[in-house]
Amino acid sequence: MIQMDGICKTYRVGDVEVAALRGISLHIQKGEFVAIMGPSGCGKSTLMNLLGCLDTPGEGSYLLDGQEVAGLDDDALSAIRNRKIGFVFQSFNLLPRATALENVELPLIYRDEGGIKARAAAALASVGLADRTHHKPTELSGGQQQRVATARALVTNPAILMADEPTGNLDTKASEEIMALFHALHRQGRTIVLVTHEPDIARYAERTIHLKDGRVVWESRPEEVAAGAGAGGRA
Amino acid sequence: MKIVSTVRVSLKGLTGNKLRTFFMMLGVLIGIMALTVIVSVGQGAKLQVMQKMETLSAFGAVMVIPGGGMTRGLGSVDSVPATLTAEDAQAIQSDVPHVQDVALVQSKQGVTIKFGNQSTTTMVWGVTPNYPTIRPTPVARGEFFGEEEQSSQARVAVLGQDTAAALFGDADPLEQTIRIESVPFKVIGIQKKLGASPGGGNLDDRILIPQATAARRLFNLTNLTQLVVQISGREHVRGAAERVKQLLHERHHIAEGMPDDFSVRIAEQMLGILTGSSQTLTLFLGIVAALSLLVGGFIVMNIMLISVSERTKEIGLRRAVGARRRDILLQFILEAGAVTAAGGLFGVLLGVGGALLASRLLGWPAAISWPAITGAVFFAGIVGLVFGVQPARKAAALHPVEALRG
Repeated sequence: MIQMDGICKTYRVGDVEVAALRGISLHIQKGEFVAIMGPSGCGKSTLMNLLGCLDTPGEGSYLLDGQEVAGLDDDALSAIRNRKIGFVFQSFNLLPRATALENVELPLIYRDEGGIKARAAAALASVGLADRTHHKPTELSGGQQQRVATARALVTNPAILMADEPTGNLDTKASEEIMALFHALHRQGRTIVLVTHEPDIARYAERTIHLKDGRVVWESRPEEVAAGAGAGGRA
Repeated sequence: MKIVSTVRVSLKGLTGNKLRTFFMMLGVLIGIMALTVIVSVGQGAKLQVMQKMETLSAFGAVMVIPGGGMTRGLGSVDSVPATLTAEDAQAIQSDVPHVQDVALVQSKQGVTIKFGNQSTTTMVWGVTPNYPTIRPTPVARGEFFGEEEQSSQARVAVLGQDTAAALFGDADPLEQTIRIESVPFKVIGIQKKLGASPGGGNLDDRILIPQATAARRLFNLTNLTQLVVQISGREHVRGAAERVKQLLHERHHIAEGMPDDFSVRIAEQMLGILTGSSQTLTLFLGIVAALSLLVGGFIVMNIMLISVSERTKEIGLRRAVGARRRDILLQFILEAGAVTAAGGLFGVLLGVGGALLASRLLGWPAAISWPAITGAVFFAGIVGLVFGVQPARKAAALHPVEALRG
């Protein structure tokens, strides 16, 4: 599903070039649930942006669902984001004046397809919010808002679900709710990539990729994450 | 992405912040409204003068007045240069082609009229009997004087309605004897109501008497205040006016390099003189209105720019879920376009309403100038596009990653 080889990304900050990613290679299978962890500044947000086709790599090759992404133009990247990727953000990013249903419809209006309302309603129902379709985001709890955002990510039936700190703005109970939802989606066969800095959250994934200074330093299974974090070593 | 859904997204963006949208619209609305009113009222004023001149058959005639200045209206025989004579009229009649008829006018302002112990001051027009055939001067009751009264210098008078009312009130003036500067005249006719002349004078406040009577029995002067030359066929008016000018130039022995001691005018020039100032005003006000529309455009641009920076995250999100740059561009251009179009439309509606109201209050014909209105709406659309493009480009140029960061 995802095949990255030798991905580098450099940013210019004034006259200084800052290397955010220094040769990342990773492989994610269809149906996998992968977490990406690391301290702040390790490049995990940059990696997330590249995986989500919001940005293009400076060097290296990125095959997504068999298609080379590096070197594609802006329109092609937009189309890939629309067709193959569903995003869930830390701050939900719901349109405040639109209803839950309208928020979920959003990705579909950038396609020339009919049946938008029915599909959006079905997606909302799949995250357990069938009775909240006409509520505005402000009328929903944090957990419910993030579920609306998840429905928005799923409505296009994407190849990959990308979640960037999805529980960062939620309390423990709501976090567990969302992670339970992700777990269920994974069981249904979704490919999920999760960026987090919380070991408790990473534990829901089958595999965790640890980043440091723009490189993959090690990979672990859930039990090892807790152990590694507990040992204070992210080496 | 379908254009329909883009339009829907844009409208949603607008209804989301109604107050802001309202103020954006207002800027354009006021400009378009002002343009519509000003152009319509200006056109109406011009139309009114033209209609007036039309009813007075002014377009088929050449007017000659004494003096070289650009005086408006009819002068007074005792104050104008004594350069225009009946012999000039005869020469014009015989020498200028296409001349049908020439009417002589000898007028005097501020003449005291008395009937019994009632008195009024008005303008006395000594005119030749052919005057009504050149300038419609319909008589409501009684009759106009003819050649017989002219040649016998008869003391007969036709009264304007306002003059008649001032002297007689509700009583019947016909066959009564009035005194014009102490000379007795018999009232033989009452003129129909005519209203104002194109120059603004009141055509109902006057007394018409035979020109010969005026010259010999009243004023004791032979110079004239106006010649009205009737031309056969409008197409000959310009040429005839030139010929009249040449003829009088020679007859009056105007030295080379000296200005003429008479003026020849045709209705089209009069129209220019009479509407010139109002047209300048219309143009000036139109420019002010256009500027206010421009200001409206800047308001739209500014508010759209604010809107774009406020909605950076929304733009980032839309890009993340698959909106292309052109989708974002179109969304914001359509927002600006919809606002200016709505502002233009409401502006036209209010402007037409205002113009109709103004024409009713001023008693002018309503000249709703559809070309001007179409132009105004078109201009509003251009304003929307021109001023909407910059903010929309700014929105579309945002990098999705940075936009999402907000």
